[in-house]
Amino acid sequence: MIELGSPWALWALISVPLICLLYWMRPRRQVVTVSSLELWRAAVRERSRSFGLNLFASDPSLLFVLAAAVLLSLALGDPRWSSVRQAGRDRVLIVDTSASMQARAGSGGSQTRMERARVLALGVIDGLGPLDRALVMTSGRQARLRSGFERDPVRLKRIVAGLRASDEPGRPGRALALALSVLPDPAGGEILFLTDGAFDSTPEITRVVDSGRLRPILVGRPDEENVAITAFDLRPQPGLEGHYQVFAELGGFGRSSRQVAFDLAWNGEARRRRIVRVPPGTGTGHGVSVPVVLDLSALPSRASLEEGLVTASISVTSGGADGLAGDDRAYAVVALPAPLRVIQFGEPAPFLESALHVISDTHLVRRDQFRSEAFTSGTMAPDLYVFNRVPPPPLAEFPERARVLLVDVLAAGLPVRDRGWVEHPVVTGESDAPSLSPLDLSGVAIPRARRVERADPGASAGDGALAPRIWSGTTLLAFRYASQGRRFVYLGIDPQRSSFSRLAAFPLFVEKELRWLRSGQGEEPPSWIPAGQPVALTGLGSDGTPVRISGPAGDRVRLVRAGRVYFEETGRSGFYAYRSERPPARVRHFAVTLADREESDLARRWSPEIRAGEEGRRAAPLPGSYPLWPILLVVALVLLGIEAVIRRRQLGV
Amino acid sequence: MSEEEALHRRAPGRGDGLFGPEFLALLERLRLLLTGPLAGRRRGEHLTRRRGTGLELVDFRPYQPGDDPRRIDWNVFSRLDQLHSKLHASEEDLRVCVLLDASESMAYGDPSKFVLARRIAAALAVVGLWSFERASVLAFGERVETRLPDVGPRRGVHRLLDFLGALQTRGGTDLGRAFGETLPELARPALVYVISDFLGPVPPFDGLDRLRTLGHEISLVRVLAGEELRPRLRGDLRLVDVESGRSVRLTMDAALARGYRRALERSLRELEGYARRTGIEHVLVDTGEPLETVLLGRLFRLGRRR
Repeated sequence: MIELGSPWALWALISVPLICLLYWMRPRRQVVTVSSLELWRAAVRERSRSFGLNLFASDPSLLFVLAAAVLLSLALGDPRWSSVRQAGRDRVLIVDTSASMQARAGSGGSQTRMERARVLALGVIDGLGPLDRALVMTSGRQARLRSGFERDPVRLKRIVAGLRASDEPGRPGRALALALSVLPDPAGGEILFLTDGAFDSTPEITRVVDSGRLRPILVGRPDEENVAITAFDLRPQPGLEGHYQVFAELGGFGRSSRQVAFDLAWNGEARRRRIVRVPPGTGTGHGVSVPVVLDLSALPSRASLEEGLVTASISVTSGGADGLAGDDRAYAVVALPAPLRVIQFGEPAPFLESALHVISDTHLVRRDQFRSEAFTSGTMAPDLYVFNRVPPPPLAEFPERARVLLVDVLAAGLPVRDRGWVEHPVVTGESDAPSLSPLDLSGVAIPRARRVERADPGASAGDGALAPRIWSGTTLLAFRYASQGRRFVYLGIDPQRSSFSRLAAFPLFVEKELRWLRSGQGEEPPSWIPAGQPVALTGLGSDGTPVRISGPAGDRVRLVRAGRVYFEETGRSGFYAYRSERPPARVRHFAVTLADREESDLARRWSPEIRAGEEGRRAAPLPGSYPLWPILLVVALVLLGIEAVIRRRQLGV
Repeated sequence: MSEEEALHRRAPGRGDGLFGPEFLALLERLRLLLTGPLAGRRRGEHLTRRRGTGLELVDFRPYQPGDDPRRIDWNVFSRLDQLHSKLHASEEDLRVCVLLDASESMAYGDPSKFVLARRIAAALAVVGLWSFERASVLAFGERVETRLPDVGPRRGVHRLLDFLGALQTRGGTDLGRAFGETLPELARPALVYVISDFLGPVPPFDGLDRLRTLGHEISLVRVLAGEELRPRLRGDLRLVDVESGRSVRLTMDAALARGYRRALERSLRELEGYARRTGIEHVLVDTGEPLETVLLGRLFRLGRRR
């Protein structure tokens, strides 16, 4: 089977009609008058029967010139003959649709890497033999099958033409592993991976490379300048109501230093701007942190809102180039909590109470001791019960959907064992929740704590779920427990006696646990989710409720709730709005953001057995293929030589 | 005035360049040749190939209804017990008619085909006068352009030479149409000489068939120029048809030259084959041949074979 390495070179075939045109415009013909054309026409007709065309019969040298032009055009197309294509072959065509594919194919180029990959993919489909089959797959955060194994090139081309780069970070290992698993032919199949190679190799990728069935087709330049928002989060400012701390990290990729304007907008209104210098190399190392406090206390509309939409964006004001626009913006949704009603049993807890006041508009009622009437009184149930070193009732006695904070005290029914006390425990582990992970709690001084351990490590107790939050060895210093609609947070670090309450991590911890306690189910809703990650939609009413979701580009999706609603089409960054179609319908939002350091690094870091600096199919010759252009060139030269001899004889030289 | 005197006392006319002293001397030689073997062959003595009511028995054929019972050969009947009719040659007066192609294509060649064609026409017509006392010439292209009706021996030679000397080539060739127009003038049987290059776009066979149906004895004289028989063209050419003005672009090479020769041979074979099938005479004349050779060696035998 013959395939073309550079199909664009076939444009040279346009020389064929040009040669014909020049032939007809040739002014050197000698005019000769004859008595009759009949015999001459008969002679030309006789030769045309041999050559096939009158044009060539009257001038066979033209035939040789045209044949030479066609052969030279084909030679420019770099045709290759592959000896292994005798039977039909299966190919999995993976197109990288991660965010980095939105970058331009080269500096100043008008084509994005994705557009270039699409062109090459169409070329691959053109090169399929009649018995070959191909399957199209995209690789973003998730691997997505876009077709089954197809023989119809028209359908395959339609699918490829509709592919677009997303804002998702790339996880090509998943797509490659899936491709290897779907290839039905254990020997003859091939995986074609059109990618920019802007990712680090993983064992999963290496395994596919080692299988020998992967043919990478690389697009884009090996290195590319970029500046990006590589991390983003925000939280309420402890001690300042209406203020939010915004944490952003900017990274510079390449060799240029840049000055960028960092802008923050709240519900579309520009609120803050900072000019930041981003040195080169900060993308792959430590980024440039941009802490900003967003003051929303004076916003009159804030009180009526339940959510706030925060947009961070950067724009280069001077310095190097910015190769990718998709990572210059980050989005977050801030939930604005309603006033928090708290009943606290036990002694006053100044640190805890101040943290609660800082975090939220808290209405706190203090009781010295717990009495069971507290659960049955006719007053409205509080949002939170706090037991500050006061024995609580057993779990089963708590009202449904009760939210409980246990400070240095345990309730009967929790799946833990109280094994006495431990002196000066050192924090050795903490949850990987985004708000805790940047903080080092190992320095927290705890004079004494309960030795609380899981009752049955490795298994959930009863129908509930226990999630450790802070621990010291096997001792749980803080954990969450949810059972039958009730939620409990245990804090074994006494804020009054430890240094925990004097650290910034303390109000942060309280705020996060409070959000979890007040939220409906599961983990607390994040302020944003990474592009391409499915999101569970909450607050949509009962099953059978139609749900309408609109994306940042105005695209709309309608789902019908059946159990939990998961929405997967989060490939585009921005704000998504969703609401139930049954009243009372409240519009809720979630944010999708790229903010991925690895994806913003546009430099090619993966190029197995690829000759550097080369692009496309030329970089990956076909297995068992042989170049045919030297043969075509020789034949073309021979034809031109014959033509020269014929011309000499015609002209009687 | 005798025929010899008429020939030598001919006044100067328009065809003097064409029919100069050498040509007249050639005619004189022809006349001397004719006085021998053809002496006494005058009108009424020429045997035609038409079967008729003459005295000379030429053949038998099985009796067919409608045959004259007087021509039944009873001797054959007594021997074979089969009826056969006797066929006799017809004896009648004959005249000569020369049909001369005067289309533009006849002007081709160096010397042109038309020069030689007119000399041949003159020779055949003059010999016809001497042999049968009546001769006519019709010049045709796409149709009969001009004609010289029957002339007799008296001043006939002068009129013939003047007429032929004044002829010029014009237009294209359409033998079928031209021969159709000659039919009223060729109602009576005649010796018909057709002088042409036979290179028209339409084969001449239909026209010749129409002449044959009238019982004429036809001879074809095909005149081709040396450039047509042996073209020496090379390179990139635009060939223009002298009659139609149409052209064809080609690049001449050995292969195309071979193709032309094959096409020419096919054309020659077709006309020869037609002549052979229909029993008419055919002579190919090359303009490069000396006129004397043509007249004495080949054309003169046409008449002698009859």
